[in-house]
Amino acid sequence: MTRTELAVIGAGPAGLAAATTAAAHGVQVTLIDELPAPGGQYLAPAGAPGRAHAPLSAAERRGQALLDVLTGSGIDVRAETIVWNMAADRRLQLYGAGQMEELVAQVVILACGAREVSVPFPGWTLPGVMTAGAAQLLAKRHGLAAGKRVLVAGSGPLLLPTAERLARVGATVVAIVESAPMTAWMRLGTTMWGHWDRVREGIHYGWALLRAGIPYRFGRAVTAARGHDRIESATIARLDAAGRPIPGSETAVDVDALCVSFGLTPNVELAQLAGCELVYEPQRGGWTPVVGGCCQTSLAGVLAIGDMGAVEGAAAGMLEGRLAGLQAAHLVGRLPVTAVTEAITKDAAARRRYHRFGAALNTIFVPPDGLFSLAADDTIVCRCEEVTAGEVRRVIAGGVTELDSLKQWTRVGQGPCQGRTCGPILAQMIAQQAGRPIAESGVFHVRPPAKPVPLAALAASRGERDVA
Amino acid sequence: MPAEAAHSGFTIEVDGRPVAAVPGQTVAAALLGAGITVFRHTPAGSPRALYCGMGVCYDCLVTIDGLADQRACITPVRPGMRVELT
Repeated sequence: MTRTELAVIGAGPAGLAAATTAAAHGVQVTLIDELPAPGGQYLAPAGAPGRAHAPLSAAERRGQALLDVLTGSGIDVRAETIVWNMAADRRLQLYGAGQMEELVAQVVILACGAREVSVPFPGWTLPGVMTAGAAQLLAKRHGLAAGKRVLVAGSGPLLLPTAERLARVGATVVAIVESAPMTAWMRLGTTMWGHWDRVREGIHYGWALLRAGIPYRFGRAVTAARGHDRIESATIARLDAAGRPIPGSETAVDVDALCVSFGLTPNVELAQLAGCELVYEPQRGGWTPVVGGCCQTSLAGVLAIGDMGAVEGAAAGMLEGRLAGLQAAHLVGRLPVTAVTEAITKDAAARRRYHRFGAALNTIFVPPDGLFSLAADDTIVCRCEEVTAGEVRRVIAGGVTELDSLKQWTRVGQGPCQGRTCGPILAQMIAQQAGRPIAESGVFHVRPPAKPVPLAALAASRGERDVA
Repeated sequence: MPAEAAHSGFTIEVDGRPVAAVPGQTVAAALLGAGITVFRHTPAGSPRALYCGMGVCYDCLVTIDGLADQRACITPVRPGMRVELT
């Protein structure tokens, strides 16, 4: 067993800000991430030389500066390490470099980020169909285009940089297909006030798309992907007000890749395992830990920050990370509480602006209800266990209205991803079919290991503990 | 491939065949870069590859150095690595 004053889980922008702030106040910090290098997805390092460089945004530059501070900060960085269990008393079980380790922390800051929300449609499991995030990382880190002829579809501002980045690495982007109507941008309009970096980015991407001649289509969705061993074509249809495809409006386009994105939802599994209280808040991106004051969860000494607490982006995450770092320094006795409250007061207005903007994005650019009718009865909804929509619909019709019961009846969520991908989809399907609020579908119960670890390593660690 | 990449690159073995890789690349990027677009087949026989690209969905699973079910999307390539597709 190892002890540390502060364990930060997740080395994205929020986690980096928290770790470096706490370390600057003399706190002993252990920073853990499952990726090979710190930075998260947002600050993913360039892997392949010769990649096409995109200009860095203000937030990216601040993130890069945090990475520079991290070097030589004395922070114990554990890369390629999975935290597979966490207890309420801040005991963490780690697996990295083939080894198990127990880490006990005085304070834990959860900065586990968010993942993309998917909508199932016929053909969505075909190779070449991937999330916009996957395509972005391939382009950013490796200079690789997801395909030669690519369609970008879904909902939200993330579609724009994805298309731009794809074009930059040589793909022909056939179109951006946005399910929301064009008026969605106007609804967002007023909340953009003060977010000048975002406005500048928006203008930059809009201009880049115009220059590259990439059409931006609203009120439409990809309704099917076809192909043998990979996607060969995609069907696009216009949507009615409820988001259902309008019959007769379909057109097919030949593509070898389709990048989809319907926004992000927080990765709450470790908070769940530890026993943090959760709440369903669409404005924050779905199920999130209940947080108050300085990112404090319902558990003493456990904070949740960044997209994991509320999907609001990197800049908001870095601001919260800094506050949480100060709070951690206070909790371990390195900083008077006044220093923390002063910082909270100073940043209150900025935080409110981020909350307002995040809430607008998380509620305006969401998959419309009607899109969940795209999955045919033989379309897979749980990718891991290959459970079809038809199977799920039969069980819901039989009166099962909670995710955990659905799991027992159909095996959904029992595969290696533990329902991370299908959970939000199934919650929607239950809510719509049973006519209940989505929060009542619940959230998949999480059992350790939160992410798969080799059985042999697990057995070895158990044996070691028995001996001790 | 840029000259610099060729210079610093190495090969990994995929189902017994050499595949070019560069330091910092993920296994998924090396596979896709070599034109390998199907990473595995499910028990029901459907082809799968990269989906979420960030370690969440477990769709891109391959066998790496004898260890089954490793995520190609977040595992970095290392010289001498052996990858098996299933």
